Amino acid sequence: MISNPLFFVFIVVLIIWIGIALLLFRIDRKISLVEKEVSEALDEK
Amino acid sequence: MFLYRLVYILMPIGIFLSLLWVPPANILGDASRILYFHVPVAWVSFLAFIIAGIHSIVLLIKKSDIPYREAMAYNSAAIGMVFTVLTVITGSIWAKVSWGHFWNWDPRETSIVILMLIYIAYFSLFSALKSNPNRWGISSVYLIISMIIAPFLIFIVPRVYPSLHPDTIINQDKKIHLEASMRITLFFLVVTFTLLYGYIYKITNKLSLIIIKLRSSHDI
Repeated sequence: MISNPLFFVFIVVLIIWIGIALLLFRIDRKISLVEKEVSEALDEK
Repeated sequence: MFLYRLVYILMPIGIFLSLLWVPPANILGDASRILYFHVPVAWVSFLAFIIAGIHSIVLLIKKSDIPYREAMAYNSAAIGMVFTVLTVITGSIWAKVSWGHFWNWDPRETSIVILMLIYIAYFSLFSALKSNPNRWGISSVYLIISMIIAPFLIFIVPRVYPSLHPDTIINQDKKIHLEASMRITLFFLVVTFTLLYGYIYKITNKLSLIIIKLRSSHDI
């Protein structure tokens, strides 16, 4: 399997996906946090 | 939201299936594997434009929640635009491998670029009308017209003129010309990319809602 050039393509694509997934996860988490804080701040107002 | 987060697991599985599990196509060989990314990405771009159009129709009918509905339509169109660019890029790579050139002015290639230009015009219109209080109405009407044009450009124009493009999934004899493993992989990735679209769409809508809430609190 390792001698198959497609295996290297698979690894490269997988690494790119991991990068995108990490970015998405971080953005999602930050936005959820901001959403919560904004809702609380507006409720206090 | 949990359903959309499944994309984190489904995408690596899809990548594995498309690159290592599925056998290469008869004539095109391994180059044909780009199909498993090109078709789902093209599907998502179409879906995103349709959803943007539907939100615009709802906005024009209900005329309530205007900033949020306007943002929802805009977000979907923006994601659709990114996926359209990806469709053109993957299509061009495939064209280079199978037809010898990145660009051949094939009816399908040309129609997707026209669609892309239509949506670029939408973003120009949207930003040009920034201070116009009727922006929501004008941009919604534009998106609805674009939504009506999209199926003509994607499904009808390439069938009217002779095309080099391979038979699409929805073809003339209404049969899928793919063997079982290819079909499974293709549909798996169509679902995965749809979930990815849904996930990004949810995130962008959340962000838009925060901005709208903050703006309205400043107005108070």
